[in-house]
Amino acid sequence: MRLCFVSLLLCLALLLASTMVCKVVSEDEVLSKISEAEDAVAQAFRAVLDAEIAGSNVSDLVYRLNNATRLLADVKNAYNAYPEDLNEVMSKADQCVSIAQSVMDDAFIRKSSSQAEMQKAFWLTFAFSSVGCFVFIVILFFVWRRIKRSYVQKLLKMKPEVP
Amino acid sequence: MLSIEDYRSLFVIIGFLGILLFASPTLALLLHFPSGESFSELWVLGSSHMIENYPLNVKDGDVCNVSLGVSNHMGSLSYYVIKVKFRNQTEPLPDSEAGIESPLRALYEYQVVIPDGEDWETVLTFSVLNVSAFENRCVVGLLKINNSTFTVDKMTSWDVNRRGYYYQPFFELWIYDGNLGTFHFHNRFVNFWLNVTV
Repeated sequence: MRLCFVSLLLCLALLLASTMVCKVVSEDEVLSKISEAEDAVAQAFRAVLDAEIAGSNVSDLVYRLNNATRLLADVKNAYNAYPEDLNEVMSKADQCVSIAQSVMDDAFIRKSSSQAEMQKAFWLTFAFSSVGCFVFIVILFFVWRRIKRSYVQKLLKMKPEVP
Repeated sequence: MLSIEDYRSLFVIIGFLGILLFASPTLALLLHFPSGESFSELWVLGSSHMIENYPLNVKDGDVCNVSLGVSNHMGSLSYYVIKVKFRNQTEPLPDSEAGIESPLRALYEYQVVIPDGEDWETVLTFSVLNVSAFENRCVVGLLKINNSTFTVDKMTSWDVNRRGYYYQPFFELWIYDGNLGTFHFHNRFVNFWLNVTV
């Protein structure tokens, strides 16, 4: 009888201990997931910023990125307010990571295409400037020669005046 | 009549101006002049969406609203965090001169990415809960912000001059620094007083 009671106590203690261990692991997982979500959103932001600097229109990416930041804030607020309610936190953090990654992928594509377009536009502008400068100088040179010639002819036609 | 040297000088000037004119589209792509002063704005408005009607006298369970906004004039897309903190009369606010945030823990936060020249605004709903008073002290047990309830257990003493138990919700603006890869306090904060009654 005593042996049964001791065994039951041991089982209960073991069960309690395993539950506590599970909770600790679970909280660690949530913290790690929150950290992952923070990194993902930060990387997505940097990618969108790079795309914007490269000249892309990023308004739709910003809209999607803000969905991710809203989820991240919800996750952190929920974790601070109800540390025991972890499943919803994990699910939202997963959604946040997924959105942030998709935004980052799209931002990279946008950035590359913008860079290619910017390069093309640069060479086109450079060609316009070079050709424009060359043509302008040539025209100016001919105008100068003409004016110089007429000036000399005018001088030659002049008669000296004797006072 | 102009001399030939005068004509030559005139042509050199015209030539120089013409080259500058044709080269300007390319120069515009290559040269980047410094933009104006970059800054961010943070504001909190009362329930009427003006700088008035801020919640002041609040009882246990009263639901209060304020509008919170941020404006980006940093010259590019910016990633902000607005941290909501809650203090009693003796706890520190951020130090504006040193640019150091308050050491109090953030209860709630907003995260938002704002394009340059644009604003963001939201309504923050809050209420103080589990308020108790004894002798000349008052304790706020919980603070509910937008459906999230936080344990604060914050005590304050009776303010003899203003005749009340005063607390202060305040909002700090943090900005993401892409070079460092972290958020830092942007040296902007706003606050308002609450006189908590049981």
